[in-house]
Amino acid sequence: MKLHEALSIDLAAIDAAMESVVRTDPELPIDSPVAQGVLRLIRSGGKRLRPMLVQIGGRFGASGREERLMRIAVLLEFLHMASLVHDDVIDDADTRRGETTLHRATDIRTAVYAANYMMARAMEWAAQGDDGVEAERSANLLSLVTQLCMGEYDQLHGRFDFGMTIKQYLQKTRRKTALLIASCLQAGALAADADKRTADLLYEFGDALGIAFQIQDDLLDFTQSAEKLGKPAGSDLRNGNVTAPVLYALELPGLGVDIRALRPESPEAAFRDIIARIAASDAIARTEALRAKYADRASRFAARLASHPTGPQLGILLDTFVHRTS
Amino acid sequence: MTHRLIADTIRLLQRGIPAEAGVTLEWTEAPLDEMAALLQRFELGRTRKTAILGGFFLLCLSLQCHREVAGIDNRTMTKRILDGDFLQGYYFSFAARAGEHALLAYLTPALKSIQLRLAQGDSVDTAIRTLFDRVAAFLRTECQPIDGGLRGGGGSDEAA
Repeated sequence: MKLHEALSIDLAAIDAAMESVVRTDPELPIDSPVAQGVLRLIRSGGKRLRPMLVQIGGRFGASGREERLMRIAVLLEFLHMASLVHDDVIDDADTRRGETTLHRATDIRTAVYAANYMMARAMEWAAQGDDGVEAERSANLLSLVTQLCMGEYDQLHGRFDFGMTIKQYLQKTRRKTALLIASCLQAGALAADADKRTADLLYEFGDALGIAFQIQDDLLDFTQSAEKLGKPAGSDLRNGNVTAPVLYALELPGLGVDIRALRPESPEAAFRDIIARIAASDAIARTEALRAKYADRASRFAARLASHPTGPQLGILLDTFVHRTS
Repeated sequence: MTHRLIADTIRLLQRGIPAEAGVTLEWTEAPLDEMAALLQRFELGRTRKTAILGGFFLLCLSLQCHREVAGIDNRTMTKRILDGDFLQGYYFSFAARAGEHALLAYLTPALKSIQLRLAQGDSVDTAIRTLFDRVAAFLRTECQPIDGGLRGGGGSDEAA
């Protein structure tokens, strides 16, 4: 059973709302490169994790706030998608989810501004309607992009930095991934007028969940086949991104020395060799233990919300996020 | 008076930027002096002038960062994209914390239009001028001009 089915979330409604953001903008010709590019992005799929988290968070509050929750869900998904468009430009990616990236379909300049447009338009759209989202609330949510950027700065400065610590890795992970996940749950709860304690617990659950989720992602980069990943294994290390498996592998004699010798210009054969050795080493088990630590932390926060009718859905989220294979 | 307002605003904004971001605010091309002079024509306390000027400056800087990101080395392009994104996000948090909810709501459609027109080929200079005009319109709509009409001269600044 897919996650949205297990959680009784209507993904089609989320996608329809997202398309509505584009289609109902009177300033945007529907046949324009921007409109078509954004629609193509929406239709290329994506798990819609963030909108689902907003809706789950909302279930811990009062009913009857569905329209507001949908607007916040779409706002945050557009924020996420816009960040992916910029990421693709930075990574010079040709495809995302099997589709041509926006900057390849148009050009870099258009893609950068189209992503900015997505966030601005989502805020405008979210404010509409009888239960529109207030400018202050939207602004606070969109300001999360500063933390996403801090995570990217961490990654930029940390390229091929084999002196990084686990603490620095976790800070980067929190900023890049966990914070948005946590904020989605919290934003949903607050939008549905849940009490502060519940909203804060959901935030802490989301933070731990998000870190476990990213650690799993970093693990899969070494352990999963290229076919399942949709990209070559070990892409992170090839790009100089130092993740948990690499940090633990650096502590191993021999392998650690060889990793430290890697440079951006190192031959592909050197990367392939080290990636294979990391995948076969104890670093994987240690990374799995780190993931389990944060999954346990998430479980403990979920347990404090277990008495709520929606409580069991946090367990479903945890199981899906942490034990996924793609 | 306007130069002091600008300097104080930039200093305040810089304090809110973590060192790891490596973003240094510099008053280069943004029409800050023009905006500061305009703010002085309205019955606004110092705090509000700083908030509106600061928000305007952050948006201008964000637009300038994203101005030229094609045809340059990847590291510079990455920094420019991230800096532009960071400054835009900082505008939202800065304005929200300052209580400028009316400004945020007023500028929302304009920011959308500006980005769309940039994607369609407008220049950044045009975008900044449009932004200036929208902030000016906000001031005329929402704020009380000094002495009931627009005149030059100082405003009723609170103590710095």
